[in-house]
Parts: sequence; C-alpha cells; structure tokens
Amino acid sequence: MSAVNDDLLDPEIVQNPAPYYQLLREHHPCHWNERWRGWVLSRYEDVYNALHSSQMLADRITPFFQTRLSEEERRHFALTYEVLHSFVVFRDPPDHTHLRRIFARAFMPKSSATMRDVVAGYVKDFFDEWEGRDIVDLNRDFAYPFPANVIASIIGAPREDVHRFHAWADALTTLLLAGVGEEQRMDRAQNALIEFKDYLAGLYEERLRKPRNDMMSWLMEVQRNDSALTRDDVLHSCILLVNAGHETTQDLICNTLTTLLKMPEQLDLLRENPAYMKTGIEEGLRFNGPLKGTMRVAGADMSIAGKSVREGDRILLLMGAANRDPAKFRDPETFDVTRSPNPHLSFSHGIHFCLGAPLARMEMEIAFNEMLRRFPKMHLTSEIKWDPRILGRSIAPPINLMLG
Amino acid sequence: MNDRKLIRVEVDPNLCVGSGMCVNFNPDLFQIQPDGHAAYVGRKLDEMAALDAAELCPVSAINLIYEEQQ
Ligand code: HEM
Ligand code: SF4
Repeated sequence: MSAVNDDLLDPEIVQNPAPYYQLLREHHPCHWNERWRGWVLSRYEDVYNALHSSQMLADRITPFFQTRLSEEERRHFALTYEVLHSFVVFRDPPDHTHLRRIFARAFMPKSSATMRDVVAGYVKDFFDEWEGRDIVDLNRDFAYPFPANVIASIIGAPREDVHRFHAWADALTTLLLAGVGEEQRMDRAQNALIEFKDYLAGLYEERLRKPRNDMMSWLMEVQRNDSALTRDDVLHSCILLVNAGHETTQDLICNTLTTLLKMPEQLDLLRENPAYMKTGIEEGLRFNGPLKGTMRVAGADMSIAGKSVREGDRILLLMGAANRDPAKFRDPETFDVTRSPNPHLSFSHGIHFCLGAPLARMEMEIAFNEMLRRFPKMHLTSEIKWDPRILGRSIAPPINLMLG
Repeated sequence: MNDRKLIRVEVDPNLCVGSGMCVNFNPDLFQIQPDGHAAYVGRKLDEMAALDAAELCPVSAINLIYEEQQ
C-alpha cells in the first residue's frame, strides 16, 4: 500500500506542489510511481547526483519511438525522430560531447553584446506598445511573443519573418508533449517542422556565401572547422534553440512576475536596490522554475535511497522538489529576492546544464528592470491557475495586469 | 606586451555547474572531480587554453590568477 498520490496531474498537486514534494522528500525519496511508470527523485542530493551521473541516460526519445510506436508510425514519423534525436538535450556521451561543441562559439561573451541589443530592442518595443493601455495580458502581450522574437532574430531571421517562428515553436512543443494516438496533431506538427527546416536551410545557404554576426553563422563557423559536424546538425540545433528557449523563458517571466506582484515588500526591495535584480531572478528560478522536472533512463541496475532501480527504468528528477529541500536551502518555502548563494537546479546541472542560461538571465534582467521602472503601479487582476503538466510549470492564460 | 605571470587557474566551486565544456575542449587540462565540479589538472599552465576555457564556461567559473604586478 502506498500513501503517495501517483496522479501527478491531480489539481491539488498541480496548484500547490509544496506539500506533495515535502511528503516525497521526507518519506519516499525514491518512489515508484505506478501511474507514471517510473521512479521519482525529490531530494536535492539525489537529484544533483543523478544529473551528474554518467549512468543516467538522457536519450528518452529512442526508447519512446522503439517501444511506443508501431512499425508504420515509426516510418511515418521518421523525420520527427531524426530531428529530436539530434538535439543535444536528448543525447549521451560521446555524441553529446561532440554535438555540444557546436554551441561553443554561440554563447561566448563576445556574442552576448549582439544578443543584448536584440533583447533590449524588443523589450522597448513591447513596453512602448503597453503605454497608454489600462489592461494587458502579460502572456499574450509580452511573455509569449518576446522570447520567440528574440531567438528568431538572434538566429538571423529578418524582422518580417520573426512572427512565423511562433507557430513553429508551438509545433515543436506538440511533438515533444503529444501522447501516443494523437496522430493528427503530430502530423500537423511534423509538417510544420519540415517547413521550419526548409526555412532555416535558406538562411544557411545565404550565410555560406556571406557569414553574418548571428547565431546561424556562429554555429556554421564551428561546423566548418569540425568535419564530424554536418549541415543538419546546424539546422537541428537552431530548431532546438527555438524549442528550448521559448516556453521556458515565457514561463519564467510569468511565474516570477506574478509571484512578486503578490509580495509588494519584495517588489519594493527590487525597485530600491537594483543590485537585487540578479538574486531576485535566481529566486524566481528556484521558487517556480519553468521545469518542475526532467527525465532520465537508468543506464544500469543501481540502488537509490535503498530502492533497486533496474536498467531501462524511467526516472523523474524533480528539480522543483530539490529546490525546496530544507537540507540545502534555509527557509525554502520563503521567497526572498536577496537569497545568496542560491544553488537551485532549475537550469539542470552537469553536462546538460542549460546552454541558454546566460541569454535567459539577460532577457529577464532587461525586461524586469524596464517593466518595473515604466509601470510602477501595475497589479494583477487574474486568478493564478497552474496548467496541469508533469514537467512544466506554467500559468494558464490570460494573466491580466492593470497598469494604472 | 604582456609581462604578467600566470600562477594558477582556479575553478570557483560555487559557480561551476559541471557542464564539462572546459573538459570537452581541453581534456588534458581540466577534469571533473568526484564532487561534480571541474578542476585544472594540467601539469603545466597553458595560458591560451585556459583563457579559451574561461570564455567557453557558461557560468564564468574559471579564473586566471596572475602574480601581483610590481
Ligand atoms: C528560464 C529559461 C530556461 C530554463 C528554466 C531552462 C532550463 C533548461 C534545463 C532544465 C535544461 C536541461 C534539461 C535536462 O537536463 O534534461 C536545459 C537545457 C538546454 N537549454 Fe535551457 N532553459 C531556459 C532557457 C533557454 C534558452 C533561452 C536557450 C537558448 C536559446 C536554452 C537552450 C538550452 C539548450 C540548447 C539545452 C540543451 C543543453 C544540453 O543538453 O547539453 N535554454 N534548459
Ligand atoms: S565549463 Fe565552467 S561550469 Fe562547465 S565544468 Fe568547466 S568550470 Fe564548470
């Protein structure tokens, strides 16, 4: 008999996961979830060790395609598999090691000045548009389009094409989240993926003749000097950037701002001490990070917290629970914009540590500074309702703000 | 002109997230330690390679320590 609720989508858990996380950490640190059919880790130390373990495999795409789809479905979705399988986030060493090199040039400090200009430009445009309005939807009018526009422009898309990235990003989300049997949705999404890759191939061709100062050109520069990297690696890596950098950033903006708007004294601290913006953003990541968890597959038989985990078992690493572990964080249930150090796991850790972390932090800092300065009276007029998701932590739209 | 002398390459364990990027490009110079953080293990100090690694590190955890200049 298990006292643990195995329905990870139970509204009570989705709306307020903290008590559930506490129960898991204290009494079931390595819990077999019968419904999800996998192990769940929740203590900081266990999640940390799993993220650093070479026996925890990140390729959860291959097992899914091999065991959950029929022969015919596999053939039908071969392109989807090919693209997803080439994402670093789903690869293990030695392939991961090699593929990750493609980003070496892309996230260096010398690239960040270019990114900063793009980010600051969009932030200004969006908030100029907010001026003179009484009510905005934080999600629709900023958090959703902003990161997609940023990543599209950084990759190198001309301004007039940027809006097309929204639909492509949504299609990718569908491909990653859709369950078995949702063929029609997957079909549409795969068609969008083909269109997206075609579009990127066009940018690639242009840059073969004339490199520019953008992400596509930075990836191509690495590829040119490394015979093991291919054109498809560059194109698929751009697709991954759109997927990895869109919804995550969108959620971090919404989760952090709505948390802050309910705590006026924390908001005042931020306004009065701009130096706290950095620690405040980290606290937003810790408290309601965009990903509650990530998945691994056991690469060997092992024992975790006294339980026998078998090779091939699925394992859910709950960063959200680890981030509130009192063994690691003092007063973990308190949101404190001054918290430092803050070794949260919301960007993962180890070899899959989020490549886009510097960009995500920059987007947050520029956006929040500008927003708090220009709209000091804004307040929330919507109820916060969290979306039922196993991995993601996102708020159901709309998120209405009264600006005056 | 560069007369500063490199005396140490440090990885700040409070910042390092064990991404392995430094190891990926310089397996002879950097290694992941049992605690999950990287350390400079090269027998010789390779300033160029260490500078490259410091640029690559996604959390800027690698510091080159120079002898105090007179
Ligand atoms: C607040 C925003 C973000 C959060 C919370 C976040 C979180 C994460 C997490 C948890 C992982 C690792 C997944 C795992 O270990 O299974 C990851 C990987 C990754 N992220 Fe992010 N991310 C964010 C924004 C971005 C942005 C803006 C980009 C790029 C434009 C990006 C690019 C990537 C890439 C390429 C990986 C794969 C790294 C690898 O597997 O080696 N992310 N991210
Ligand atoms: S690149 Fe930086 S974060 Fe990654 S292992 Fe080396 S020192 Fe640590």
